[in-house]
Amino acid sequence: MIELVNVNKAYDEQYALENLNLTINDGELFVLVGPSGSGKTTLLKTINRLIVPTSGQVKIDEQDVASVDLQLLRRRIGYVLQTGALFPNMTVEENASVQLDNLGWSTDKKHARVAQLMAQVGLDPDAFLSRMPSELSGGEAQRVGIVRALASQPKLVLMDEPFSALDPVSRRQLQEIVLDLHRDLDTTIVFVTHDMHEALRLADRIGVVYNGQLQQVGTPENILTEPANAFVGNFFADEQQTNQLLGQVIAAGFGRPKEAEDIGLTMSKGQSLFEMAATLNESGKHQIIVGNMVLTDQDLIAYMASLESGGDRH
Amino acid sequence: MTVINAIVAYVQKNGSDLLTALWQHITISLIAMVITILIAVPLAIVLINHRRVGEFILQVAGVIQTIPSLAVLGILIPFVGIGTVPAIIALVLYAIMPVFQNTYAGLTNIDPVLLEAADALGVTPRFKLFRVELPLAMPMILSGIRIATVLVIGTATLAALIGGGGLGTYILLGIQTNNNAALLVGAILSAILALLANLLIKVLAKVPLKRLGIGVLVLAVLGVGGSVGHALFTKPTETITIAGKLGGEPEILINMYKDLIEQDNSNVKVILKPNFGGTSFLFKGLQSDKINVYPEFTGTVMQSLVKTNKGVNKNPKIAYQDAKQALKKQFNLTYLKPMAYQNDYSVTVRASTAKKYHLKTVSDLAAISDQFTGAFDPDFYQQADGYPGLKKTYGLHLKAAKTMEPSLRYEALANGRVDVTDGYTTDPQIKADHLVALKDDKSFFPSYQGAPLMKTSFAKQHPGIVKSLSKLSGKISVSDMQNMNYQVTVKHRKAAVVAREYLKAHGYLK
Repeated sequence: MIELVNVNKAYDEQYALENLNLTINDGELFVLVGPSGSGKTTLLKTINRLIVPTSGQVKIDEQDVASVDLQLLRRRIGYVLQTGALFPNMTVEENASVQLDNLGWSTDKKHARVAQLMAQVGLDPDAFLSRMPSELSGGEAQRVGIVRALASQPKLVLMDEPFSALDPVSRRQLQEIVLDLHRDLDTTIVFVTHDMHEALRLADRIGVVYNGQLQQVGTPENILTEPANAFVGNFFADEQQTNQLLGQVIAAGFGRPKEAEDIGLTMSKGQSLFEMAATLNESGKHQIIVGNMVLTDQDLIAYMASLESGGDRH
Repeated sequence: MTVINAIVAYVQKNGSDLLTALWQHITISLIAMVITILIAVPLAIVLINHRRVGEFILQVAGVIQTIPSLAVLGILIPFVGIGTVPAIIALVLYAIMPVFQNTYAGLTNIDPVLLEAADALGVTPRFKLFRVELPLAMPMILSGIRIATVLVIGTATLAALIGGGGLGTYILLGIQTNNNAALLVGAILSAILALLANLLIKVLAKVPLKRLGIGVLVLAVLGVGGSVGHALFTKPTETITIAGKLGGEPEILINMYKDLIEQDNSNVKVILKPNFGGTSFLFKGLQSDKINVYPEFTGTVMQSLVKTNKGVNKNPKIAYQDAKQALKKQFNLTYLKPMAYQNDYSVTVRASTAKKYHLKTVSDLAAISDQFTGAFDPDFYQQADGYPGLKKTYGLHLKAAKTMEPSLRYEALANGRVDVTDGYTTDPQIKADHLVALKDDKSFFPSYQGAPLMKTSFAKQHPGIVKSLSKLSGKISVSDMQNMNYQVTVKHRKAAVVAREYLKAHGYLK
């Protein structure tokens, strides 16, 4: 569990973070979203103390990060930067093993661990481990960046706008990888992005940051349906128009409870109507399962019609 | 073609000496570069976290860079004396700037994202420095080292000026003795050396750091082992150092000293440092025990070295006594008895002119001097003991007299463009160009007699050496010396060979 208690960060009497309180639960994929300059990256960096708060406390599992040896603290936290930030003088394997080297792992153990993770992010270890970063595409480099962050099996991984520099296709693939890894590894992930679309797609919970303050913390549906203030409402306005989530469809009263004979395509509440339409179209099926609910193509059409008429089913 | 032939001939004749000089040059440059790297790289690493001090040091290093290397050598002499050490210090001062600057720039220009990544992953400071920062700055550091190495190899030629040896010796020798082959050999070799070093570092830059480290270690072990082994297997003998001024004549003399001393004293090994430098370098070298003996002229002693209000006495015997006593009293030095020849100023005419007008002395010339034109060294033309004094003492009145670059005036005389010039009595051109030095029948010119100079303490401890050196006192005539200078300077034969031939021919050497 990560707790930020009354955290302030001031630069030249300008607050980058102002009296901020936040709790992130174990195993959560928590997304900090906000426009650039909002303070979301500053917030992220107070967790591994790359930025030291002017006042307030940051605690991981009840322990104040200020009281822990910095290097030991950071070796136990994965970190993914914007551009992959691979060391250009090291091979992919050396890059991915940086934390393991510093933790004193044996060569065999390091190699096995890195090779396994490489396969998990969709890079063939035999083809990629001996390459240099200059021989990788942006998406490949960022996958290696993720492997590097996960190599030491950290309980916590911080990601600072990791996909903002990628093309839409790579971004989508990597988002998929993050969701898969998060499901498989039982890791807490704190993810920073300025792209609300990305936030909605990935997050268990979202924290909306603006002007150094948390405007709202909640699930994607929560934030879309009940924005806490005008800023949050405006920030997600476009999304409400063009990108409705399946969670919202269910919240609006569509769908029926899942029964025993309902098996087949499963989607998450964070996925959009467009994705549902694409899935149905590709598969030729007529329904999907979201959690314990079933949505049919008829539900999709009815929900979209209800948006047009401005009301819901009830 | 003749130039190339001359160079080839010169290299063939001086092969082993050239190799020694080349090796010396490499050693000096290498030591200077190792020290430079050991200073500049760690300094940059430390100062990277103290930017303000770093920028300041950068400025200081830049200022040092602008001081001419010759001036740096001059400034250092009072502090560290002469020889290899000050040469290396000067080279290090020169090389620090590019290495420090590039290392500093290389370290400051690392992408901050990469440094953040290293910090965020919790690497140790050691890991960050050796696996991230230094490797990323390495291309810049190596290019700094490359620039500095080329600079050092070029500047190391100046080491010869203060007795540091190296390829500069040949450049200097070439300038002093008008031997273009020697000059070119020195210059070309140092240029090739710089190019090769440049290339080598470029190749080494591609070798991984780890393997490079192992290579350096192996070389260091071999080097230390080799020198220790060498020291163990060579017998302890006393080594003394004899140096000579620039030019062929001092080199011939010190080679004679060496042969005589080593013949008589089997436990003494003589190291020669020919073309060691100008008078003040040698004199300081003698006082600071960098060298033990060098040949010096009585006239120079009286005019440049000792404090005296006496001029140089016209009587050679008195002139020697004056010099000897002043050296003993003021510097506690021992000045052995001089050789027979005097390397004096002279008035020189063509042999054909002398024959035609029956000229033997300067007085003979003065009597009919209004028929002749003259060209003189600018100093000689102005000094009281030069042309103005000649006019006064002998009533010499040339039809026309002008100044001319010293190296050109013999040529002008031989070509008939002028009829009279100044010169030194032992100049080889007198023989080569069929000239005649007229006798100074009124003893106008001060006397320059050569003799070995050493510390009195050294002379007392080494009576055997004094005895060997004294064998030359009162020996070697002007024409002998002229002939030997001719062999070395004009015919480009080796001074050691010419010296040995003379000693054997006159029965000093078995």
